[in-house]
Order: sequence, then structure tokens, then C-alpha cells
Amino acid sequence: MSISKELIGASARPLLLSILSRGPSYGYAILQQVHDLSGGRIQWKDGTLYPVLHRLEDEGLIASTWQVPASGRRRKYYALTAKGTRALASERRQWLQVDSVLAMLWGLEPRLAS
Amino acid sequence: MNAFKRDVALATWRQFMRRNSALTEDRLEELEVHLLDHMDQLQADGYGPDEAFRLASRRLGGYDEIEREYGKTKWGRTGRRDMLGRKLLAMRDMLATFLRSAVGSMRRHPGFTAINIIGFAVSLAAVLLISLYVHDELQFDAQHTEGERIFRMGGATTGWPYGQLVKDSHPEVEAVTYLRTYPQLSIRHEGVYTFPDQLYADAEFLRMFDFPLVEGDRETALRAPGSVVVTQELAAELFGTTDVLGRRLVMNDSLDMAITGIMPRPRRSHISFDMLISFETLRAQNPEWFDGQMTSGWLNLNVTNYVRLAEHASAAQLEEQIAGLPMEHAGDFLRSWGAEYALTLTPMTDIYLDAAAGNALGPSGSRALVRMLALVAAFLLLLALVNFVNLATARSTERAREVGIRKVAGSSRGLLVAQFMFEAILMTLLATILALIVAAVALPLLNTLSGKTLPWTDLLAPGWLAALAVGAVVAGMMSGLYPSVVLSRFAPVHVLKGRRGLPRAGGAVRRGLVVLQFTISSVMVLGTLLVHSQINFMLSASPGFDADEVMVVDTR
Repeated sequence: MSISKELIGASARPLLLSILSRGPSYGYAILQQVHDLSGGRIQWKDGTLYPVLHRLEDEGLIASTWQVPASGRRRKYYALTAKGTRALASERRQWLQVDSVLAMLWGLEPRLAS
Repeated sequence: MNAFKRDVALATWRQFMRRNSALTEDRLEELEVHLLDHMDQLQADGYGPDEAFRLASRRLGGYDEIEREYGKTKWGRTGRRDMLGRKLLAMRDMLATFLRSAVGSMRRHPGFTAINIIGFAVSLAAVLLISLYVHDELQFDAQHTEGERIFRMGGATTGWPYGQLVKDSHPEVEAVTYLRTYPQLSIRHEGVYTFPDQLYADAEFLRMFDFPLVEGDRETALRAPGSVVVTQELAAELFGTTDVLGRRLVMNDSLDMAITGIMPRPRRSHISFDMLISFETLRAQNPEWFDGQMTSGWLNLNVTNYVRLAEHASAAQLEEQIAGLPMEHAGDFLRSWGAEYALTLTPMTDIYLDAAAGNALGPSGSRALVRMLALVAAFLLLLALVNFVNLATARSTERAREVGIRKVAGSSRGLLVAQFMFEAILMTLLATILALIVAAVALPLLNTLSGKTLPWTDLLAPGWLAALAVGAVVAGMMSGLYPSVVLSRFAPVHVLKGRRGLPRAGGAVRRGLVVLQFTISSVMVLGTLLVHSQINFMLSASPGFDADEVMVVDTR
């Protein structure tokens, strides 16, 4: 089962913010992480990742720096800003709201008798 | 076989990616790192270096894919200039589509297209011809740079002393010129007598008016007695050449005249002549009589005076001061006849069209006629537009289906309106070109009718053409707006369901337009019939005498 293009597009933002909330990372690593976490069901085209990252950076939600780790090549690391942390909280609430409504509608969770 | 060279491949890849306008060097480096990371991974999985490069670069996306991702307004941002370029390109594509679709529509309905274009073109041609006539009438006497300051003094003709008197006593009068049409003399040339139109004019005449002189000196040409300035037309008629400066003419079998200037025949002027004779010639013929007239010919009303006023001088004030001069100098005689005579000032540019002003020196027009023709032209244009609109909307049921299909295919209402407008403008532009051709062909008819000699090249004057082009586009927009709004309003569900579901397009407006069209046509036809019967009456009514038995003697 693959996830629709629209849903992948809509979830890109909270996904990226969430990944970066666990620590700074760079494009290729982020892509690997998404692939591994979703068991390959979320397939981001490599080229599409960077425009989203740059967009988030333009909005001030993440910041980037070039870093050279002890071993390995020079890479551009992205990290969450304070504004990004707040944005993530908001995204989280929204997703959970949608999720809980859908869960109720599909009878996945017990409803309080009125 | 060529060995895979990693550096060469990467350099080529970078060069290729750099063509993407959205990529900065920083972002390109980021992508390159990504590519290298991915290649490392693939090589660790057992792929060869060339294959790793191919897979990784393909996965990252080619030039246009990245471009598209960056171009997405939702995610990426592109430069302002880039957006403008895209918009221009999109607009060009849209116009090309419009043009294709308009030409297709015209081809599918050749009959309708022909009727609509020809109908519009014929009306427009009539409007063009009338406009040419009206424009020509309004251009009369506009060629003189100081024309606004030139006034005719005293009426169509006036007594002899006033001109000189007023100039000597009023400093705001910068110059005065004397003109006279009498006596008209015969010219004998190579044994043949001719009577060209002659005007006596003093040396001031060519200074005050800007009639161009092809040869001769405008300061001196009319100074000496016995000097004449001839038009090129007369020169060609008499001598067969226009190179006649210094040649001599025998007038009245007794006067030996010298040609001191050559000029084209005046065009668009209320003063017309074939030749100018120096005013001094009159004095030389009979100095005693001439000087007597200049001092006491108060009521010898057969010269015409023009004065040029200083800038900012008030003509009304001057007129007030000079009005009483005739009563002052010849009051006894005038009163004994019970007559009144006051000097007036008439703006030179009003003389041609002002019927009441009178004109002793050339043709007269009619301001009333010019106004009426302008009105007729305006109505004709309105009729043509209304007709165009009606024909377009009348076809709406037929085009409703097309609109339905287009809407279903995703065309927005605004796009449909734009497309129909485009079609209307294209039609009016085509009609305008056709109208120009029709007008040029019909121009000789107008010239015969009006006695003018308008050249067809007048139709192609740059200002005229620009006005026409703008007018055609505006007319197209005006006439295209209503049909396009009506047509684009159709709901696809209705029109595609079948003929029964078709709405009747623009009923009330269209009926109103037809009534308007009918009314204007009726008024114009009735007006034409009325004028026609009037002219018939004038030609056939009994004048109360038998014209065949009466001889007219010209006593001038």
C-alpha cells in the first residue's frame, strides 16, 4: 500500500519538523530516516525534499549551517529554531485533531454515551 | 571502451544543473553532497561506480524535474523576473490559442463571418468617407501659423480707407492687407485668350498668410506694379511648364506683366485664385483715382481687408472702437438713405464655415452640413456596432454547444469572455482593413459628389491609421463584450442536454437593440427621402418666369 501524493505533500511539513526536533540532520540522512520509519511507504523523490527544506528555512522554522564532521564530507545541517518548535506543536495538535475525528468516525475508539 | 571517470561525470552534472535558474551555488553544493552520499551507499551495496552515478543522479531528478519542484508556487520560490517571463510566455501561448480557435471558428462558418465582416466594413467605409469629408472641411484655413490672430475687417468687402486708417491709429493692429477681385483681365498667350481667377493683393498678403511660394521672394513678389504670382497649375496650362519665373504675360491686351513668383493653388482655403496681381498695379493704372479712393472711398465697398492683431490683443475691444468709423465719415450719406454700416471683425478661421459671414474671395462651406454629416457618421457607426452585436448574439444558440464543451474541458468563464472578445476584435480589425479598401475605391465617387479632390492617400495618414486601429480595437471590445458575456453564461448541463434546454440568449437587450437599429435606419431613410424630394422640387418648381427667355448679364 502506498500513500497518495496529496497526503505525502501535506505530511511533509510535520514530518520534517518532527525529525529535526530530535536533533540537527542533513538532507540525505533525513531521506533515509523517512524511508526507514515508514517501511518504504513514504517515497519522497530526492529532488522534492530540498525545496521544502528551503521553504521552511525561509519561514524561519529551521536554520542551516555547513558542518564538517570528524569523519565524512562537508554537509549542510538543518536544525529546528524556536519558532519551528512552536510550529511543530501547532502541527501536532492539528494532526491529532484530524486523527481523532477520523478514529471516532471509523469506530476505532470508544465513544462516551450521551 | 571508455572507463568511467567520476570527476568528469560530476562536472558534467554540475554544469547541467547550473542551467536551472532556481539553483544557487549553495543549493547546488547541497545537492552534490546528497548525490555523493547516495553513490557511496549504492557502491557499498555492490553497484559499480558508473551505475551508482546513473541511479543516484536519476533519483535526484533531472534538470526539468528540479526546475518544476522549485517552480511550484506552493513550495519553491522563483525570482520576480522569472515569473514575469513565464507570464509573458503564457500570454503568448494564450493568444496563439485564441487565434487558432478564432480562425477555426471563422472557417467553420464562412457565411456568417462574411456577412458580419462585410456588413461592418461597408458601414465603416461610409463612416470613413464622411469622416474624410468632415475632417477636410474642418481643416480649412488651418495652415496659417498666425491664423488665430488674423481677422477680416469690415465684412466680405469694405470701403477703401478703413484698413490703412485703422492700422495707423491702432498699435495693436500689426499689419493690414488689401485684396480685391476686380477687374478680372484677359490673358493672351500665343494668340489664345483665357480668364483665370485673379486676385489683387498687396505685398503684406504673402507675409500675413502662409501660402507656400515655390519660387520667387515672398517679401518682394507683390511689391512692384505689373508683378504677378501664378499657380503651378496655371503655369502648366499656359506654358506647359512650371519653370516660368521671370517670364512675361500680356493682360487685357495692354499690360505687360512679369511673373515674380510661383506657388501651388491654395488648398483648404477660403481664398482661392489662379494668380495674384500686385495691388500696386491698380495704383499704376490710375494714381489719381487710386489715391482718391484711399482717402475718401468710404462707401466704395469693393476691397477686402485682413488685419493681424498683436498677441493677446482683444478683438472685441478693437471691434468696439472701429464699429462707428463708417457712420463717422460717411454718416450724412448713409443716414439720408436710411442705412446703417458698422465695421466688424470676423475671425479668419470662421469665414469658410460661417454662412452668415459671407465670402467674396472663394468657396464657402456649411457648418450645419458638417455637423449633420458628423452626426450621420456617428449613427452609422452605432448601427454597424449594433448590427455586429446582434449577429453575434443571434448565433449564440449555435455556439452554446461549443461553450458547453469548452467549459466541460475546463475553460473558465473569464477565459471564454476573453476568447470571444478576441474573436470580435479580430473581426473588427479585418473589417477595418476591408473598409479602408472599400473607402479608397469609393473615394472618386465622393470627390465627384463634393467637388473636392481628396487623394486616397489621406486614408493612410499615420495619425488617421492609428486612430482607426485604436477605434477598431475599442469597437471590437464594445461589440464583443455583450455577446461574450451572454455566451459564456450558458451552463454546460443545459446546453449539452439538447436543444430544448437551450436558454434564449439576451432576449430583452437584443430586442432593444433591434428597435434602436430600426429607428435609426428609419430616420435616416426618411431624411434621405425628404432631402431628395426637396432637391427634386428645387429643380422642377416653376420660378415664375421662363428661364429660356431670360439672359443673365454679369455686371461685376
